[in-house]
Amino acid sequence: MIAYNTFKLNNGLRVIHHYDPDSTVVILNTLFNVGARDESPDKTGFAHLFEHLMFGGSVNIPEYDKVVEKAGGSNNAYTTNELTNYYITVPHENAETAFWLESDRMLSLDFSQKSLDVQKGVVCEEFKQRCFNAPFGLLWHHIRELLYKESSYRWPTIGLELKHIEDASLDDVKSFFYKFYHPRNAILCVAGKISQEKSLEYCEKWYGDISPSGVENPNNYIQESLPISRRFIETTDLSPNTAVFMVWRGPDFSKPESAALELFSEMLGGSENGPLYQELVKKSGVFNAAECFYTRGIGEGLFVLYGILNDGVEASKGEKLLWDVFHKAQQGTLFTEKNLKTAKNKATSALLFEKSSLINKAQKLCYFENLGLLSEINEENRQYGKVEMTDLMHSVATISQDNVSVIYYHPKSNNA
Amino acid sequence: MPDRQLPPETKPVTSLEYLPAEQQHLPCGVELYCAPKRELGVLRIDLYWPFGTAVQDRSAQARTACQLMFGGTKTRSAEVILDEFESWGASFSCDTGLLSSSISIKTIKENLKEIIPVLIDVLENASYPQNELDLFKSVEHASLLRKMQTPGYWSQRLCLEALYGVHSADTNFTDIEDLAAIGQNELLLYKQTYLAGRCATVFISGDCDEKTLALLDNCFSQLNSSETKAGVATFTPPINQTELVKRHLPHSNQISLCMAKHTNRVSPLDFPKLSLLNLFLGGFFGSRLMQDLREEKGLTYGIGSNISLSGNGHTWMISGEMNSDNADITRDSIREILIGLWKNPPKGDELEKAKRYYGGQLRGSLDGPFSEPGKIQFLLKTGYPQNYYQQALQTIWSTDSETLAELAYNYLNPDSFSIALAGATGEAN
Repeated sequence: MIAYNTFKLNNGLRVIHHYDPDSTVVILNTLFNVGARDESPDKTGFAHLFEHLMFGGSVNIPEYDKVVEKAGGSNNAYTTNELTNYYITVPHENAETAFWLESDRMLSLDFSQKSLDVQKGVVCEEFKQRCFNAPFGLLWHHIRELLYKESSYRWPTIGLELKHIEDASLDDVKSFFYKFYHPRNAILCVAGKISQEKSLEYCEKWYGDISPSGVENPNNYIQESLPISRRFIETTDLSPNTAVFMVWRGPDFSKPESAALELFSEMLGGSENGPLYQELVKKSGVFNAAECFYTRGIGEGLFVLYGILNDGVEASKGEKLLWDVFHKAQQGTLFTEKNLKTAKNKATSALLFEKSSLINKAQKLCYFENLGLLSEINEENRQYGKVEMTDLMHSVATISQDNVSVIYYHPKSNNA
Repeated sequence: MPDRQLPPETKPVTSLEYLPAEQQHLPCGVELYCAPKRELGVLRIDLYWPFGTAVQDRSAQARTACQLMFGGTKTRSAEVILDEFESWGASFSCDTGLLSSSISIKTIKENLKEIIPVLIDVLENASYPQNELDLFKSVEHASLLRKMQTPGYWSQRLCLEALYGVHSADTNFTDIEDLAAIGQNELLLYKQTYLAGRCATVFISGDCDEKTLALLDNCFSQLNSSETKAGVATFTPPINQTELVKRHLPHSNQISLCMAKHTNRVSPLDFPKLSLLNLFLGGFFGSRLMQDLREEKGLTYGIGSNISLSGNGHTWMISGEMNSDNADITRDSIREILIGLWKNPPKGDELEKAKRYYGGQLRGSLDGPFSEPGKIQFLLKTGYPQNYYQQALQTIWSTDSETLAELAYNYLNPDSFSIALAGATGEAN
């Protein structure tokens, strides 16, 4: 069980405190309610670029990283389509330094053209490394392009194209900061070896005077209806083997059906004992990889099923074989109550191990608060426990060949 | 309102109260390290053997032998083994390094008793069934071909092969022909020689108690006790070919650069000094490589350096990816930084910052219920003493600028590195 306390500052900053007396560190995890879905279609990748700029110095602290390191700490961040999350870990005796650092960059960044130019270069290299120099590097570009036509979920966090990052201006940076980086749009978790009283004292001291200007992100996005026809892309890739990816949109994290879909995907293709691997990799030998997973986001859920084919097998044949297994699972002929119990036990175990990590707990507390579900953070296992076999079958009943998005990747010639 | 120009006081971590868990023995004689943390509900068991790729006859042999221990026994198929673990919410993973192999089992505490019989069977009777071996080779082959599409794979491989030789234990890259040739009998022999269940060192971390130890004792006492520990590996000296090696990848638009050199094994008193020197080179965000090439020039997403264990000593490695137009300027900058470390060694604020960072990170790395096995395994691999981590921190705080300059002069001559570039080199292979 994750124990926590909450309080709210006058400027709207929501704070969660989690005490761990066995730890020697203090973590400040800050979630900003802004992600790639908040970008303009012609300025994609900006939320992620901005994440890099947050380390370029704030109004009173020109060298953020230098101070963190001098306090014996470390820090990092990540951006998704739905949020941006920053975390800093310091020895417990230097906790106040973390409050000073994190509050100052929420107060105001030290906007500079040089910092922007440098980070644009860094992010462009990241883009190339991830997207152009690794097998399936453009997968999330292709998946989102197929699943969405209007919604701002139609591009990945890294951005649609390099040019959007290259064109980012200092004015864009400033307006993004003032719109999204303020106390009302943030959640702070203080975790580790620090008392609730001390946390509150430091929060009031360092965050209390930050202006409450700005409003919480209303998270209003185009609600795009689910695909009602097969959508398809066929392209080449660095992978030396042909691959087939099939994707569907589904319920988000807050819906109970999403837990059922997660368990279903685990049973179908989350393990080498699942039917996907057993039938397609082990028995038929047509594939060298076959898996599936369900991602449960704040505003979307994605069911991804894929297989990588052995030499000489056509993509269309691969897709048919993937469907054969999926249909059997969908019809309920592959799974028993024992399979469901196994999936639930795996979920229970994963949750317990997750809760043994301080940083995981801090991030999870912020995530649940952002969802408006903090009081349910210790109920996750119960949510899995409630899923019955009929729920599983119900959750996948609408998945069909008529609403699937499919990608065929063929090897480029002259691969290394 | 606080004075935001006035930083809060920070304290350096100058000492550690930590002492690693002491070696114990289960009643059956098996070596044991136990780091209990109550009320988690879960625990991890690590079985560790001091043999890895260094002792294998061909590449991929050690890793295959370790991974495929769960591939079947005389009485259980791979599916049955996996099912018995997963149905109780337990999992296993295998890891093989140059000097060690390990199996890590994660389980809900109350379910440990259910998976112990399976573990006994795997440790005692792993049979490496031919069908599982064939499947493993096929899947590994495909995975290897995918890795070979990335510039980072080739720059590291070519660089280490230039340093240690193509078939050296220190390079440890899987050769496709070797993978295809691995046979059932050699795996059985490898397992018997190097991965004998009774010869494992056991680490328990997480929610464990006397009952847990009794279960494990029951497990290991059922294993064949006639097995003896194997001898140690021998290593060939490095070749250290320092000219530039390149590999062109036709679809790449970046270059991956890798530089590496060999350093003889140093004492536990000197290793922290080299680790500190590595911090300044490329070991953390505030390093000279990261600050110059990423934060000042924006040439790369990531560039860094590390010093790792090799057979006879240590391997220094610098690696990073950059736009193909920037490879030359990056190489020139790395050269300047290497020379700068002895001509203009870290001092004052730069030196203090790295020492404080080292102290904070060292203590932080001991945090959490599952940190202990990794810390002790490092000591087992290096032969460093139990009090190494406290000593290391003291050594760091007593290391001065002159010492770092001397070490940089002795260890980081840019002309002593093997260099490899892979990706958009524009030159035929």
